[in-house]
Amino acid sequence: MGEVEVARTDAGEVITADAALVARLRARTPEAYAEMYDRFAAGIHRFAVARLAGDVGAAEDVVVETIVWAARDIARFSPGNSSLAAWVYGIARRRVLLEIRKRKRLKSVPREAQVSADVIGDMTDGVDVAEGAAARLDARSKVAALRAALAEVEFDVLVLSCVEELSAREVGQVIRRSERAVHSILHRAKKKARERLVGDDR
Amino acid sequence: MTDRLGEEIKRAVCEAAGEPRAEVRARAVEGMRAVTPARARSRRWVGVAVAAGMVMVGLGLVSLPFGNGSREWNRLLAAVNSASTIHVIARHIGPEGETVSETWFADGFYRSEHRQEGELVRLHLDNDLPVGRDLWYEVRNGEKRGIERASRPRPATNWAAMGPIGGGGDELRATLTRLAEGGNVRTRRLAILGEGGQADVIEAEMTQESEWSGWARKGDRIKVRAEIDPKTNRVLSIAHYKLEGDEWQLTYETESIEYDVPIPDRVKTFTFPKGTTVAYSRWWEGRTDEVIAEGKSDGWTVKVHALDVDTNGDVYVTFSLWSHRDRDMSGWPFAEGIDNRQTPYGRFPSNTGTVYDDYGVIVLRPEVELSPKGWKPPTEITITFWPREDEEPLVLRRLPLPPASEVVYQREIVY
Repeated sequence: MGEVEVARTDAGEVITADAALVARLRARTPEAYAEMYDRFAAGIHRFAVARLAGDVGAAEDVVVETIVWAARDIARFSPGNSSLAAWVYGIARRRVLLEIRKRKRLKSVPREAQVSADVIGDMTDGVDVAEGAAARLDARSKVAALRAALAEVEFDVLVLSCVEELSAREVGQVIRRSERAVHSILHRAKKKARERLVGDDR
Repeated sequence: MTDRLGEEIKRAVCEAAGEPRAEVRARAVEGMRAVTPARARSRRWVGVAVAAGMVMVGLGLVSLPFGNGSREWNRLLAAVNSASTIHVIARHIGPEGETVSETWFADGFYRSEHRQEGELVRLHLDNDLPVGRDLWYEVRNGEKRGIERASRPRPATNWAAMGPIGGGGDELRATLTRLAEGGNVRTRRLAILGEGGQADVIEAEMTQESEWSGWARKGDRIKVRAEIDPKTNRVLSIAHYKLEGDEWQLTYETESIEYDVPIPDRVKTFTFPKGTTVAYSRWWEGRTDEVIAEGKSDGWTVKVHALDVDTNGDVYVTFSLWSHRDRDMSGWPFAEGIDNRQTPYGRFPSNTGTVYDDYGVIVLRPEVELSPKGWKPPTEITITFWPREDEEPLVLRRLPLPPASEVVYQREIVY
């Protein structure tokens, strides 16, 4: 997720792709909305599904809320404080935590083993439906096992680092910890994850 | 090993999630387009606020002059009403225990649900977005009851928008009206250091004047506390208290208030739980394609879509009414009738609660007592409509009536 791509302003000034996207969002350029979605939706969705016990509907709501929220508050984004990705994932994480808190209050039942018809439909593409659903359930049970084994912050750090490929600095910006603390949490999380996954394979 | 572990985790997370559906993209892009961008925070201003807050930490709350109450209130109201959506989660603490409510409010949309220990005990969904639908659901003494009816558009203006925030919108309205008007309400305006910024706090104490408001009875000493974002003037939180002995007992508090958050699709519909007895179903909706009579005046067009007679002699008129000048259907139309036996039918408003936009049902009831013995159902009726009491009526003459039915519509459906 590091900012390696660059773009140029009309004046020829070299800026990062993220800075260019932020400028276009601030100018309310219609194309920027689609770009914003393409840049972050899949990642936020993965993160939210993993955190929300496979509840795809709620995760999709998190995607929409996060991206709309970010577009609304884009004037408040400060590149000096964090990368765009860290800022957006920070919003997503807060939306997820809000959803989890709400569920705790409402005592909702986790949906570990649910696969909606929509999701099965989307994932077929010529693949056998039952096989696709089984693979997804298997993946979800692995993720659920990790979630059960890890503390919330450990799980977040693991997903943001290993799946979303945020740097330790960016993960620190998301969870509001130091880079050093992120390394320490990640080490701990991986240790627990290894034990759990190896244990599951036995 | 670390790389392999990372890959395995990545594969599992990616497989478990899949991609968001295509409609999510449309929702997000449309949401970004529609949302009003927030202004950048002035770093200097934040610095000043934080510094001021640090001073105030030692002092607790610092009183500020409240200023012109009416202007303050109008300011808050305008700010709240500028939101495209409002989402409120709140706790209600009463003699029967605690309920958690979640309310969504937008122009043409309202959903409020209350849960006790996680169980849904009350729900109201008024959704004008796809189709007008007004649902009520309640569990009382273990019995599930519901009402389903067509709805009228609900404008998100003025007081209506404060309803979900206030918990009991009417109570808050009364409270804040008095707060705005001054009078004997003691008010303070306070400034505190909130998380990440500053909030104004407005408190009002008063004596409950209405008989019963859900969180206080007449004569109770009550207090309302609202936190306001000084930048946006929007309400950040509200709490209600009731004086019990010499202690303020919390009766209501918002856990979160969000503005301009897209309404999730999952809250736009509701299916009555199995075993719910539902009254006033939208029985007449499938009948509005046909037009059996039409009348026009300078201002209005009325169409009668269906007529029914029951064995009590009541005539059910399914109609639609259109204004030529505007589409404002505020207020209920009236009608009266006279049948082929010269039996007059009283002037009743559309009282079945089934008005949807311009469509509705009026029940015309005979003004004379009909003898069950030898009563013969009417075969024709002349109906006079008054769209507004002070406007020219529309008369539809000698409309044929069908044979009388024992039951015109199913009043209750068990799901």
